[in-house]
Amino acid sequence: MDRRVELLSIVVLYLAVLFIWSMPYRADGMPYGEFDATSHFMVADYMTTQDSSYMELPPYIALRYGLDNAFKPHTLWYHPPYHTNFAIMQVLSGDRVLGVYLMNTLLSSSIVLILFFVMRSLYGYWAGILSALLVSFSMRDIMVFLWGQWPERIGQALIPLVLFVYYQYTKSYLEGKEDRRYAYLFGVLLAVNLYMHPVSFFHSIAALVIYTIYLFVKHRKIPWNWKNIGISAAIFIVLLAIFPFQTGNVIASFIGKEQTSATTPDFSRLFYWFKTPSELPGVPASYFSFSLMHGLWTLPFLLLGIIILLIRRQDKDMLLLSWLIGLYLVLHADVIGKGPFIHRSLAASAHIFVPLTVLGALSIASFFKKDVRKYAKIGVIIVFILLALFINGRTGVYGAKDSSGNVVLLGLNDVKQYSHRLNQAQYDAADWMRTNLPQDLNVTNVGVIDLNTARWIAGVSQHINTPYAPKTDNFPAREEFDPYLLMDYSVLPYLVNQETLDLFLGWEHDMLVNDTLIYNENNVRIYAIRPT
Amino acid sequence: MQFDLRKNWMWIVIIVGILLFGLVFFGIHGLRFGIGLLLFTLPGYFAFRKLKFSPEESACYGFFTSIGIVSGIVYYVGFVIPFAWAVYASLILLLFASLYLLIWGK
Repeated sequence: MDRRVELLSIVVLYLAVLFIWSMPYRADGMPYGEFDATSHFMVADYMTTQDSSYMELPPYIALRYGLDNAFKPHTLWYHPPYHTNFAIMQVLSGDRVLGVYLMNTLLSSSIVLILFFVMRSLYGYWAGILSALLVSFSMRDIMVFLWGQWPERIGQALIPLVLFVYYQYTKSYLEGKEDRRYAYLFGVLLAVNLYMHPVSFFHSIAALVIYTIYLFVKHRKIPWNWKNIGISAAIFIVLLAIFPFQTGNVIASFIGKEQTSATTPDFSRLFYWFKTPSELPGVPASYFSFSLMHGLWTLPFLLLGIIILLIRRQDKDMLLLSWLIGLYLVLHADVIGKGPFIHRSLAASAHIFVPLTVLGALSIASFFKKDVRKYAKIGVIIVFILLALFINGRTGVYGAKDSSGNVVLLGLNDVKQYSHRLNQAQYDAADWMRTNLPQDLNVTNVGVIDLNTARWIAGVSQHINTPYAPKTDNFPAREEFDPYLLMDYSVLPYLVNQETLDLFLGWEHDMLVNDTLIYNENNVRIYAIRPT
Repeated sequence: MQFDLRKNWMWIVIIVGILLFGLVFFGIHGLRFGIGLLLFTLPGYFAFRKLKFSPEESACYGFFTSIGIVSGIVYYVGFVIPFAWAVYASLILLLFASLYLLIWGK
């Protein structure tokens, strides 16, 4: 196929992906996501709004994340480039929310581009474009994108790129035409991989070790030139040394006391790809369902793909299998006491399952006689595209319901019902607080329905916000008041009966009668509290 | 170095397509985002082209190394000058440096 048509097809597909994945915020431009999402927004946003880079966390971020850097508490706990990407796009786009969210969409869905690039290079166009299409609707990627553990998405997406570059280097070396460009690029990409997320870095390392052992056994020699791989290692170390506090955090966390909650490792887990935990670790049951996450139709192709690669065992096949084994090792790290968030790595499953599924499907054509093989391949491709669009695509956009009609999975289109987002009134009030209230003074929230909303108000306002009723059972006592108090009726009337609403109005009237109303817009009021 | 339009028209179509996509679905901020994305990726792209990687490889490696390296540079420059200035100054300087290398570098 013409190279230009190939390129155009992936660009069209990827723009469609951006269109679909941006559904959650495109209509109203409001930030959304769980606790983690607020943190990623806050870290980038503070850089842009203060118009300065920073290392030490401001109080409203440090309140929750101050100890997340085990090496240097109260400093940035991730390597700065990840959040700086968002801040750069806030500046360049000129929009505080869009800059973060569109860049996050791009980074979170970048596995689509990377799989296309890697699979096309290794196995040809159809392997690339079909992998890109199917992974576009990877439900775990979409779920995490909606929840907020964003750095993992780009970290895990970089794994195949790191492996591919290493493959290119070792291939050139073993063929006697050493291409050292790939060795140096490998060092850079491995460092960027660690910058994005440490767990994905360890996944890359596991797969690289396995692939290297395979090459060593097969070729009976070390698959690299020591000098060039040494330079690559030096590049890697220098890039990590640039951010000593965060690299120190990775090392401190890795060798530190982080353990799984189980006192004795569950070795039976080794016989499962991933044994669904008896107590769900803060994620819905659907997250552990192969059928909902990948589509049951992909399973035979996936198994066929693995079998085909095991039989063929070319170096590129073993690269994919090493990647798969690497994921298995990461998913069972708790057995050797490393965890406790191993279920998060399940979100990387589709990244390797999809290419194996595609290779399994495409191999079907080879079972036909030579004269009809071409038509068989066309048939397989058409069926694959239809299944990917109408099963995985439909689930990705519209979610899924059980046989009783209950929603078991939210799709990108359903996210309007997702509670973890601000409404325009809350956003405007929070933004007003950012520009009008002294930065070091805190705000008491009454009427804010949950902690997550309070976190978003904190993030946008850049003030510590402490929510009371209805998040807690009680209203704050006067001596608990912060210097400012926010009364939020933008959501409350829709959630409580008139009697309860009157309770809030009465409390506001009695308690705040002598304080100064300084903001009153769209059912959100802010008071400056008179010192007692 | 000359730019051959017959060989590179597809890249122009792609760039215009991305910018139009940004404008239509995200308004003026989307268009600015698209231009910003180009500004962010091009230094890496030119650097990898200089190293004789193919255009596709250069685009891929250019973007995915930039999310670590270019943003790392902007981050540190942001300690010295205002952050918004750091973004523009770093990206423009990197763009000119990479173009210089590509065209005149040995």
